[in-house]
Amino acid sequence: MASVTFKSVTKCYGEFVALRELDIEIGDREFLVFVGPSGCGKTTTLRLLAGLDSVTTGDIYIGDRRVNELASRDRDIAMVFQSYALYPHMTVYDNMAFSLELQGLGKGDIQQRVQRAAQQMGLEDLLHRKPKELSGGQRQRVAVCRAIVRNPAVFLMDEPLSNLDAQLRVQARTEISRLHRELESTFIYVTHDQVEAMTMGTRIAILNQGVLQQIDRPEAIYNRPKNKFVAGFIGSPAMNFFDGALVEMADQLWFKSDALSLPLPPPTLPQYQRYVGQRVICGLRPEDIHDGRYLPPDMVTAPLKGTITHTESMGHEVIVYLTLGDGQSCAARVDRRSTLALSDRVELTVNTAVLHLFDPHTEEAIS
Amino acid sequence: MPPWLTRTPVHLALVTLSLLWTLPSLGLLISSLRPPADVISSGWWTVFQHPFEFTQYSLENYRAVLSAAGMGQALLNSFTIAIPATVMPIAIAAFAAYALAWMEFPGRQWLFLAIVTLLVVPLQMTFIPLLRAYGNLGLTGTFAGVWLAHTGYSLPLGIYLLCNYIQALPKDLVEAAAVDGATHWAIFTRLIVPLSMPAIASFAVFQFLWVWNDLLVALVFLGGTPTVAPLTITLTNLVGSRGQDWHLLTAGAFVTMTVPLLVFFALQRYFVRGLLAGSVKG
Amino acid sequence: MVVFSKIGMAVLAILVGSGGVVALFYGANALVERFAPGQFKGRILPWVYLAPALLLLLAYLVIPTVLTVYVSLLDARSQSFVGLNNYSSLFADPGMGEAFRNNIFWLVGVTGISVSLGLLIAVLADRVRYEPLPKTLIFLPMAISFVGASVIWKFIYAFRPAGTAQIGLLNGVITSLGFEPVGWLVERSLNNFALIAIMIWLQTGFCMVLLSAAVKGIPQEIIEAARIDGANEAQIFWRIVVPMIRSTILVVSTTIVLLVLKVFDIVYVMTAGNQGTEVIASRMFKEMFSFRHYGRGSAIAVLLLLAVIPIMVVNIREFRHPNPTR
Repeated sequence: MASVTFKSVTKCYGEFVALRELDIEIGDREFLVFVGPSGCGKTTTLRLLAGLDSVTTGDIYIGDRRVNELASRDRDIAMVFQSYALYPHMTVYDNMAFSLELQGLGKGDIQQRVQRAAQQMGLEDLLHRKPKELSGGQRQRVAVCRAIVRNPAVFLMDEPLSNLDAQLRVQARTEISRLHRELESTFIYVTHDQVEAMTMGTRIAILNQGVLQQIDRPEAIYNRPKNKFVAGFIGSPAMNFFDGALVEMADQLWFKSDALSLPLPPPTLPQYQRYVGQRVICGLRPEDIHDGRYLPPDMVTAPLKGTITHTESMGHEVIVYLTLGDGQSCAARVDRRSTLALSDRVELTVNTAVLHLFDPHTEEAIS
Repeated sequence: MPPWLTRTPVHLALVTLSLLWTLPSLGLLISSLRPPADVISSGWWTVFQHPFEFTQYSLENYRAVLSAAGMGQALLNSFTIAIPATVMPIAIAAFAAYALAWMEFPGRQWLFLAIVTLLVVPLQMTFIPLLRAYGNLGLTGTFAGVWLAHTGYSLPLGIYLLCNYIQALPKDLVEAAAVDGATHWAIFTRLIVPLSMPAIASFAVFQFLWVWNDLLVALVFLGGTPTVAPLTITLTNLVGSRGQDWHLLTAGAFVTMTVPLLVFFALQRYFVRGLLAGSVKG
Repeated sequence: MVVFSKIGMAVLAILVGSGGVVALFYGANALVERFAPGQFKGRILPWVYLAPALLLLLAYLVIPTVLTVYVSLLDARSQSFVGLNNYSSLFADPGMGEAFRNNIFWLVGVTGISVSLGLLIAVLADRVRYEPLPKTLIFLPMAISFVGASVIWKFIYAFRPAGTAQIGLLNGVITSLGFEPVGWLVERSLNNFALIAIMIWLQTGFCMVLLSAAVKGIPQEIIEAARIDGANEAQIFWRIVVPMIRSTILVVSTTIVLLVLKVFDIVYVMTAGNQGTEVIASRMFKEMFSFRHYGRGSAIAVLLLLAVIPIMVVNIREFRHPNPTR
């Protein structure tokens, strides 16, 4: 059980900066998820922590121990690889026993620990199989099991679910969350899938182009994204962005574009004051645009007019894509009873209490 | 034309070629089983006049060649030369290949390239200086001298083959082992060697046969000493000294061929792969 | 028992030779793990694993090659510097000219015939159900040493004066047809071809196996597409099959060329290079051991190296980037 600390860690591959000045403190027993588009530096971060690559500058601590020069085997970590990396010539049992043997444990001890871990993951019947005789889901469980049998201070997982089909993935997600509760140790998890990040992490760290964008609890990331990248990355369909300006009319702040005119809620007045009369970007989540006929109660609203260009009925909801009067397009997630049809000119309703405003130059949230 | 007729030339050609390719070895085998007087007085094909008259066959020639002509000692010598001359290059090449493929040190790529370049050097290029050095060191005519020579000569090919194979093993496996607590030694012995067995076996079969069938290296480094001469040298001497003793020659030739033929039939798969892989040997 | 003590000695030698090298690595690794300070362990270990290989390569290939080039510029006993005299005397020497000429015969004959025969057998065998049988029989000689093969063929070429019973197969056939027996290994117009035939017998199987693998690697759909486009079997062979396995043909041919350039055993055992059958490698052996002229022996080796380099480059390049269609 241990905390993990990155102190201004930078990693360069030649000219390419894979990770820039990363500062993170990960508490004991936390489940931290690194998420971001491919090439953002999340896997690099994990590999640095695992000791599979060495940092260019900065320090990494596991607990109080600086581990920069420590070999992987001395860091008290276990890792689940995207490809699972099961040793193909060993049985499931031997795969799990391998690290224990290397630690010099006795045969009896090893057997006991392997059995217990196998029980935890429901693998008792597969212990004598070779990896190639297992299904994809079984292999993934063996990979996880091989990590837990070591009882390490920190678990590292590199996209462990990306090779599973959709149904198994949901199952495996709950299983890993359960393990985290039962084992009470630190999990560090890398994924490009925002659903995994939102559902599993106690905190999420979002990376882009080697730079940490935001680290916070999942709901905070969703509700208060720190910049346009985070706002656009988390949420599906992605947040709509509109270019426009902030204007003050009759003691009320408005976001105005050629096609939109949205009043900002009064309590936000002071923080936006210095942007009055300037260009801003307005972010609006698809789920905050409603079909006026099925409106939740008690909502401050404003109209949004456009032509529907595409609809996707998901069963439990309908996603409509429309083009506004000024040519900007946007997506809305509306009630499943909606009967909006292609090419309809419609007027939808915006919940103005949850607008996000961004500085168009820095793309930072205005707050 | 009916289809079987159009295919007749194909069958005919294949059968003819197969027969043509088999006849020489068949002749040798039959002759080696005939009494010495018969071998020199009539063609071996005359046995087919009454092939099942078993009195015309005997193993006498084999007994004679193994004891009297020194083939027994030579057989032992061939094993004594070929086994270490196979194990040594495998071990040395495998360690080097692992270092080149999975350990980090400056000049790694460059070193690999330099080793591959050595594939072009014909053995003949090395004989004269080595012979002189062997003379000074007293290695001429010793098993150790031949082992080392065969090992040195086979290393470029061995490292090239094994490195290509070991490099292609999934990186994740090696890293998983490192995270699991394995040292380089453990990764090499517990992971790399078992997983590289197909490549190692191919190289082993190739190298063993190459050494077993080699005449040139043995002639150069062992000279004429009969106590260390392998089968190839002893058989060559038989041809020279007793070229008219056909019964001994044929049996002797067959003795040299038994082990490669056994390897061929038992390990055909590795044998073919080894040959393909070894086709770049210098 | 003498036999048992001999076997015992052999086993002992094998154990010492094979076990020694493994023990060497184990010991060196243990030493580094135990005594090298942590910082340096990672830097030393690769060189520990590489050291035996590098030492042997230096001792057996690099240094001797350099020395041979140097010795080729010295006189017979390596006592005084003679410049390129060894080379010029080689080119002026009729014996050497004969060796070069013969080697070219060998190159053309063995490469041409065994590659074409190998391809023919590969394609033919692909069409019959008993494919493995002819392939095994033709491949089998690959397991036989050049020396063993030489004895086999000495027996084929055996010559007895006319009137006596022939024991050599070839003369047996000829005399039964009513001709005079022929001294295959003595007649200057024939003996080189007799030797070349041995090499063809040995190497056709090798060509066949590689080419057969390449032929089988051609996707069936391509052949079927050609057939639908109206190609007959011959056209399919020349316009589809041969171009598609071009790179394998090249690898096989260059491999045979390399082998033939250095051919030694067959000539040495069959004729010892007499009666006009000398080749480059047997000539070198003679310069070294019969004439004790190290300068010229080395010069021949250098010529061999120069001939090998371009072929080897082609070979390795093709070997590393095999057929692009697969």
